[in-house]
Amino acid sequence: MQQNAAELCTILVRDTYGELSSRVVAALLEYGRSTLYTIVRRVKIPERVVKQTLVVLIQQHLVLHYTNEDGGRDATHYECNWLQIYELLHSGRMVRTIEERFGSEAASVISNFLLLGHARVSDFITAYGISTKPKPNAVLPNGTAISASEATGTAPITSAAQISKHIITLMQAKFLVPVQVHHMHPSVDTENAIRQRVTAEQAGSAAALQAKTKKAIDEKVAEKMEALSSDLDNKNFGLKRKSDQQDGRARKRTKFSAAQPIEEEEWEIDGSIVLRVNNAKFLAIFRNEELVRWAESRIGKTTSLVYAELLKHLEKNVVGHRTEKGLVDGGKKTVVSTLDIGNTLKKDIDLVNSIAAGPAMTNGHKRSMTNGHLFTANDEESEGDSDDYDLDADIDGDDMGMNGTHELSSAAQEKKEQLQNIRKHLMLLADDPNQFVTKQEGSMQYGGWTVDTQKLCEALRIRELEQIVEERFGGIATRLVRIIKDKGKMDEKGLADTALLRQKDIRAHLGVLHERGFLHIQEVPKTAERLPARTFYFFYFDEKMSKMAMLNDFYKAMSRILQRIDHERSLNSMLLSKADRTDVKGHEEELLTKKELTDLAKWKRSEEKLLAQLMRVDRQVMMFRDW
Amino acid sequence: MSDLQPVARKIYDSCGHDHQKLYAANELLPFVPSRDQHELVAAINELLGRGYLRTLKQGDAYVYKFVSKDEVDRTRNLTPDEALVYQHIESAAREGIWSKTLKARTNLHPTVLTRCLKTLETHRYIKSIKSVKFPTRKIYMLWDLTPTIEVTGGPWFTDAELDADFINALLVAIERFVTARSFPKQKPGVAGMVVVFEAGYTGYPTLSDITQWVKNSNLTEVELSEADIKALLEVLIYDGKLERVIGGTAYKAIRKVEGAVKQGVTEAPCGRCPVFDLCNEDGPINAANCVYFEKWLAEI
Repeated sequence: MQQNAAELCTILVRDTYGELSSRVVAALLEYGRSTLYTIVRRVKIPERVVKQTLVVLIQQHLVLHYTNEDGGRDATHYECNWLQIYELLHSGRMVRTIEERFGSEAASVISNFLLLGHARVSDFITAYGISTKPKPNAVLPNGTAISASEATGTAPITSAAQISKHIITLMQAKFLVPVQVHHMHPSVDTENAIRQRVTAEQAGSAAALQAKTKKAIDEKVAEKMEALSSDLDNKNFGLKRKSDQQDGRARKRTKFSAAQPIEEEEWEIDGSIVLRVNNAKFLAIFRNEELVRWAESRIGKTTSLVYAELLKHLEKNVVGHRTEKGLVDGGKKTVVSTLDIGNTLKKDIDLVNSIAAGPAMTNGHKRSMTNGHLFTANDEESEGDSDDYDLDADIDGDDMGMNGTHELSSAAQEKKEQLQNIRKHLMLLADDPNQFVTKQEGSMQYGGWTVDTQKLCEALRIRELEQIVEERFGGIATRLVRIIKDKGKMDEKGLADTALLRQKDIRAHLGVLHERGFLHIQEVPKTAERLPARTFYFFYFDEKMSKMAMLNDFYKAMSRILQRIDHERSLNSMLLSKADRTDVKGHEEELLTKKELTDLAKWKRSEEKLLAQLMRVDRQVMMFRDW
Repeated sequence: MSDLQPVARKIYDSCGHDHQKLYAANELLPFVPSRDQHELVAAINELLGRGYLRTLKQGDAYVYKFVSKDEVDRTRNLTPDEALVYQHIESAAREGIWSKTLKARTNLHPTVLTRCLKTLETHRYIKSIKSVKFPTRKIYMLWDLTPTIEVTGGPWFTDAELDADFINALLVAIERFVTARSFPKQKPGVAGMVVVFEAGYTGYPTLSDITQWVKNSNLTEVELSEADIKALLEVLIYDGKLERVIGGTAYKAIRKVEGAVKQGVTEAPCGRCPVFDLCNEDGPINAANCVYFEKWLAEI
């Protein structure tokens, strides 16, 4: 937790939940875990009010609490969950994502859950449309233009059945997850409690803390912690089977596409469970979007579309767990076959024209190119693939034999061609130095693919960092950073030789990079006196330290943007309050003067620009911290 | 030549044309008409004295080397001190000799040495050069010699200075060459579509292709080896312009994204702010009075 992050979180809470909450949060962030009494003493607000504030914050998962039960007197500690506070920034993105995937109704469900923090399903359904006329999430400091009221305005949700249908879909896709007790506690406390229990079971007495038992206990604790979160991995966790299925008449329902019927049982929600938004799942989706953008810039639009389709298959059942190392999901284990992609990929994408064969291969006409590729010089690859192609040939032969009709075989031919083209795009992705996908040798026709998201994100981070260096310090600095990263520790002379630059030219760059925390120096004295003149200075690059320095800068920059918005707002406060009046709203053209109108437009532009910038920095924060 | 005795002149005329060959004393004997050892010794002494011959030690034996006539004429006019300095500089050959070493070897007084060097330089017998390794040292070598690579620092150096313009020009040229071979030509009819070579394409240029191209392209008269080209390619890779493909044997250009947008943080004023560390909500520099924000917001 860094100071700049604390500042940012305080601002976010103030903008969303008001001054009171932000003071409590600020105290918690500054002093860490505290009891109610300490909080009251620090914020100098009556206990009753602090309690009310804490309730709100706990409802929003912004504050975690834990009651220590042993030792006679119960003591409840409160702790700020600052990562969750940061998630307030993402609400706009989340609503938009859901709208793109499930439509505006589902989006309004999500935005309401975002506003509520967590809610019991039955309450949510009954309250819908009666009391909580969904407010536009303009109250949230997000820059995206989607507002829930607009969404519901165009497609009002009318029945409870509809809502629950949306909730079930969102739950199955893990966008909504049931709240469990351990969600409300700091993970350290949860772990400690488990450890205590395990130790008691294992040893009986605290005296027998041998190294061996300690290790066993550690393992067991890790296992149990894992088990806590793995509940969520079950696709239908929190749902129960519809009663009419008990007699075994499973109904079939096609869900994803007509070509691929999926046998699916009907589920209904247990009205008593409490749901919340699963932030980690959204993070995984944002990450995948970024990866697709990257693939586009590296290879091309069409390939990135294929990649997006592949990632969509991967993320379907992913829950996403946030860990120290980044997001953990099933990407490495889940294999997606080319056939899957072929089934869902939009047919109107031009797969052929974005890939050119080598000059040697263009002699033949286009059709034979796909097979011609087999017999060319790139031996190892075609050897590996030849099985697949043989298989194709067999199947093709069978088709011809059985059907004999031209229409069918041409349809099959078309399908086959499409799959081969998709395969080519995937091969491109696999061939890239960043290894967007990994080919899995297996029995799957046309091959199966996995994605090592962790490794990719590592590369993505490095690339982002280099770009930041490039834009802030210029091309030479980037060259130097890359060299140092590649070669490890280097002194000025070695650097100058590798970079083909004069020593005196690189010195200034190295100085600035060091000052801003991108590079670090190790001093190795030649003599015992440690004279500066008789010392080697080795520059090195430490990704973790650079990352921290960057994040710190990001948080600060974000705080400044939010503060600037406040400032701009206060500059225009008179005008804004006038424009906000109910009689003026909608009639701005008639009731405001010309100057006021231009000012209003200007303010809107500035705010938009600042918020857009905020979101772009947010993307970088996610990249460096979450993925 | 006329100053030599007939015997000595005969020896010099017969053998003196080859300045590289080393002669032992008895190898010179056949050139003495009388085959008389004493006469040979006298002749050798004379040649040595006049500077036409130089003694070298090979193992335990002494051997002789003839000196060209030009050189003899050159050294003849020198004072003994100057000749001594000249000899030491000459023995250093293409490596050159540091003035300090010269002083230690000749044991001359600094002023004398300086005077000698000055005379020799004005006569264009010697020249001072700059070494890449020791840019501050004064190093001398004979006028007509070219310094070795260790002294000049290889093709990248001109006058012991890294020739940045030359390097940059080569970098640009090589990048263009590789880029031209990294992407297929646009197919007619599908304008605006980004086209790439298929996976496993082997037509990307290799190191030897690029070296060959640089050699044939008349870009430079400097001889560039594969290692030199490789160093250039490394730099291009570090610049993020090229990447290695096909197991590192070939090179491919990285596509430039047209109209690439800046990073979020660097486009906002804070990412480029020179006083970012001083910025504080309650401080003299803060978000409200920030001039950079002012300017940036006005740029809409």
